[in-house]
Amino acid sequence: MKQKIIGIGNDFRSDDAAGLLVARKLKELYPDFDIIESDGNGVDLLSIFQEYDKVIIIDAAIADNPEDVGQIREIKITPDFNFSDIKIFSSHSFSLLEALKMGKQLSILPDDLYLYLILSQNFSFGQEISEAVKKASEKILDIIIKNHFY
Amino acid sequence: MKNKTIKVDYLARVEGEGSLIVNIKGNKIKDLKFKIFEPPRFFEAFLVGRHYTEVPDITARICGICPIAYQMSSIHAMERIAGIKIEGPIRDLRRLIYCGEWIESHVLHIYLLHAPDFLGYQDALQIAKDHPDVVKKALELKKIGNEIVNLLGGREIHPINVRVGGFYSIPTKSEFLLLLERLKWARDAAIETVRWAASLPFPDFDFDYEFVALRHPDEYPFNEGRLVSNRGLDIDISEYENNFFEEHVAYSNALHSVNKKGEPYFVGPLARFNLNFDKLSPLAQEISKEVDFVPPVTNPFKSIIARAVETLYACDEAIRIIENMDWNTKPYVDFEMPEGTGYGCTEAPRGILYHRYKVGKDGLIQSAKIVPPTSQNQKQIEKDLYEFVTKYINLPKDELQWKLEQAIRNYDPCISCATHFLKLDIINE
Repeated sequence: MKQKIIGIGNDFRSDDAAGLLVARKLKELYPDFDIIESDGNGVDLLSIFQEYDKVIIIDAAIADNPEDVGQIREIKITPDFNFSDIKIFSSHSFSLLEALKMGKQLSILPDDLYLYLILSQNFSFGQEISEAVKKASEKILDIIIKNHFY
Repeated sequence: MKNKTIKVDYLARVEGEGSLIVNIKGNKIKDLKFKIFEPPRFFEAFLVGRHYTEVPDITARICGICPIAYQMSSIHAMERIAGIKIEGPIRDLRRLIYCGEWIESHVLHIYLLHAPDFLGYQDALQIAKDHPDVVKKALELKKIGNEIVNLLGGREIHPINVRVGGFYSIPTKSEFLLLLERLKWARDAAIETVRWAASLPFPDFDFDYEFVALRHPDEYPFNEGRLVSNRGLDIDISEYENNFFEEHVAYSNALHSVNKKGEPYFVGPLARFNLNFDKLSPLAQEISKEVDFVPPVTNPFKSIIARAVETLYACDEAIRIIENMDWNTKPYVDFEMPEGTGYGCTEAPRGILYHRYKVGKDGLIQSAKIVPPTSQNQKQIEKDLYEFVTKYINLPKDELQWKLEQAIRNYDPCISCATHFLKLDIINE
C-alpha cells in the first residue's frame, strides 16, 4: 500500500505552521515513512491523490470562535463523502477542499483519506505559534501515531 | 440604467485575498475600488539582519506558486554584489527550473482558474464534471512542471537546492533524461492548449497599454535582460527605482506601482509576448502565427493565449536545455561577498519581480526591497475595470460582475502570497 502523510502550512504565518510541525515531528520519529510538507496547493495535492492508496493530511483551519482554538477535527473522507456537509473557505486559488471535491469528481481520491485539522486563529505574519495550537499539534501527533502506526 | 452596486467580498480563483466594489449611478461610475488585503511587507523587515545566503530560501516562502522567481531575483541581486556572472550549464539549469515554474503556474491558471470564466462555468469542478479528460490532461501537464522544479529544487515544496553562485548539487543525467519523453508529450499538449485558448470567445476590449518586460538580445527572458517597454523605456534593472514608484492608496493595504508619469503599466505574459515575440522558439512562433496571435496584442483577455504560448515555449526550451546539457560541471562558482547593494529582476510567471538588497561587510542584510508583479499590475487592473464598466455599463449586473472578475483574472493576480487561510465550518458533524 502506497502511503503518504502531508503537513500543510506556512512557517511565516503563525499558527498556520501547525501542520508543518506535526509533519516534522513525525518525520523525526519515522524517517523512513513518506512524509512531506506542503503549502496547500490543491493541484499538487490532486497529483498525490492519484498516486497513493492512503493519504493523511494535517492542516490548521480558521476557528470561527476564539473558544474553539486548539480543538481538533478528524475527518475520514470516504468515496461517498458528502462535501455539502463541509464548508471550507480558503483564499488559495485552488485549495484543499477544491482538491478533495475534484478528486471525488475525477474518481482519483485514495481509498483511505484522513484529514486532521487544528482550529486556529492567528494567521498573521510571524513565527509564534499559540500555546493552544501547540498542544493540539502534540495531541494530533499522538492520535496519528496511535491510529496509523500501530 | 438604474443604480447598481457590484460588491465581491472575496474574489474566487484569485491567489490571496481581494475584493471589488463598483457603485454605478445612472450611467456613470460613482466609485470603483479594487481592494487587496496585502499584509505589511513582513518579509522585507524579516530579512534584515539575516545572512545573505539565507535569503533565497526565505524569499521562496513568500509565494507557494512562484518560489523559483523569488529565489532567482534574490540570487541575481546577490551575484551583482559579488561581481559574478553565472554562465554555461548552471545558467541553463536556472532557465530550466524557471521553465518548470512557468509550466506549473500557467497551466494552473489557464485550465483551473481562468477557463471557467470563458466557458461559463462557476469553477473548474464543473469543467471536471463535463470534461474530465480535459482536466486530467491539464493536471498531467502541470505535473511535468512540478517534476522539473522538484528535481532541480531538491524537494516537492519550497525548493532548497538553489544558492547564490549556482546550485548545491546537480541531479544526474539519467534523472533528466527520464523527463525528456514526458516533456515531448507536454509540448504536444501545450500546442493543443494554444489552439484551444485561441478559440475561446473574447470581449471586444483593446487598450493602449504600456507593456513592461525584460528583454535579452539572445533569448526569451527568464533571469536576465534590460527593462524595456513599448513606449521607449530601455534601462538597466538598477535604474528600476528611478523609473517606477510605489504609491500608497488609502482604501487598500497594497502599494500601487506607477511609471514616471504616474501612470499604470502592464507586466506579465502578454507584456513579455508583445516585447519578445521574436525571441520565442521557432515552434512557439509558428503555432502563434497559426492561430493568428501575433503582436501587438492589446486585449488583456487574450493573456490566456499568451500564457498558453509561454507554456509551449517553456516545454520547448526545457527540451532544448536537457538535450544540449554538458553534465560534467561544478554545481556552483566560488566567490567572496563584499559589502554593497545589488539588484535583481526576473520574469516571474505573473511578470517582473524586482529585488534590491544592501549587504554589510559581515554578510548580513541591511535593507531589502521586494516589488512583486501583482503590486505592479494593480493600478492597471483597476484602470481596466473602470474602462470595462464604462464600455459595458448596460450589461445586466450579474453578467457585468462575471466579466469584471474575469478581467481581474486576466492578470492572474497573486495578492497575498504565502498563506492559505483555511476556514472550516462543519455543518453536519
